[in-house]
Amino acid sequence: MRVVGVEHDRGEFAEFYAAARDDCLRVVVISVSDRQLAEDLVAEAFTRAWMSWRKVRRLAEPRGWVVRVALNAHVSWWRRRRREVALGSHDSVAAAGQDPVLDSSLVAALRRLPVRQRQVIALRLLLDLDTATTAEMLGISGGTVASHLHRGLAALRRELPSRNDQEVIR
Amino acid sequence: MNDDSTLSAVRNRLTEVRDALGDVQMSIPVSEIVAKGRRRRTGRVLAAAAACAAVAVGIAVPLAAGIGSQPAAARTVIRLASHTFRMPAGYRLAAATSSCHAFAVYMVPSSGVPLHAKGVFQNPPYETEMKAAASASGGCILLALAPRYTPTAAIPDPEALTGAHPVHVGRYRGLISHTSVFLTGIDRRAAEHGIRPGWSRLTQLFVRLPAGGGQMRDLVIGASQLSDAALIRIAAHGLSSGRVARG
Repeated sequence: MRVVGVEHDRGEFAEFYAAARDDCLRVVVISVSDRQLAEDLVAEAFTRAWMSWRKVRRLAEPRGWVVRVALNAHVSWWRRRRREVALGSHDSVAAAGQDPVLDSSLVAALRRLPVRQRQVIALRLLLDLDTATTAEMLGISGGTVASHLHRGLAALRRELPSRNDQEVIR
Repeated sequence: MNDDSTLSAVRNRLTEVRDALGDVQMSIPVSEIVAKGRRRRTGRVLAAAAACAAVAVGIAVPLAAGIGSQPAAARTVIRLASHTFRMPAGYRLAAATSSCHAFAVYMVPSSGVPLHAKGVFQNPPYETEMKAAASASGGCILLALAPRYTPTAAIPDPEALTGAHPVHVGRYRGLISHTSVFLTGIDRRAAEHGIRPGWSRLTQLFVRLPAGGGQMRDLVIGASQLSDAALIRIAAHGLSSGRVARG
């Protein structure tokens, strides 16, 4: 019976992976601007999702969990990188694999956001999750999600071509 | 432009970028993900493994010699979050520049493993809840608090390594295990402290402490070249004389 359960889990996870992997990868690519790095991060996140599948499967939106873990892993990757490459530049490392599609001021501004704001925007705007689900995925309150979204949008709107660019969000 | 219109505009722009990435696809098959997860699950090593990495530099921990040979008041008390642990006599909190401390900093994983509580997954705060103590004779003992978890009948302690053996640690229960870790990617600072790449055999003791609300939290104690009995003895002394205090 146990073997059957494991096989069921594996089949279910495989279905989830097939359905969600590309969506998650594109969201992470936008956030890190390096395809190879993004794929490594998403693979790492899916590995963790598989290791905790019985918990992750119960979440309202497992894709959001994967993206969040991948973006957290990006921070970790950067921390390790910073330790290992004393004089390295994160920008120069990321730029090596940059995609022309991602070469916009808005995407650049997104990458400059603090990781939590970037996670909120990735989940809310790129995965189209609602505030409550985003809050659940990030383990924070809905109010905190709204706050991070507000600050993130305030930073990103400067990159939008609009005649109201200088208006202050209240 | 208000928040709603900004939200809409940013969403549209990002959606355009996302759609333009239609050719971006994962090339890694699910079988590789599953296999990687299986390997890691089997060999998952907590931050406390850093303690045992002392083997890599040949640090010998003189054990029994110190225990009970000095008054309790003379012993170093280490605090991890709201928990206290009294070290064996002769051990002091390792200086930030010591090789013992270097192990802790170098080996602690930045990403960590998920919390098991509330169905919410967060990175463990290992970096602030792990400390090292060294003795004048070169011994090194590291302690770490693992994330809280809710024990179940099927998985009484998700933090302990596969194959760990149940033991009694004073009035607490614990699990002890032996494993090997392969140290790689040694950076300059670690190398300066004599940390070398390669295999190290490790002993880890997971002491299960009540964390309130039906949850538990493991105090993970690691050292190298110690017998099981010696490590358990240190843990039992440290917890009983230091009295676990939960704030």
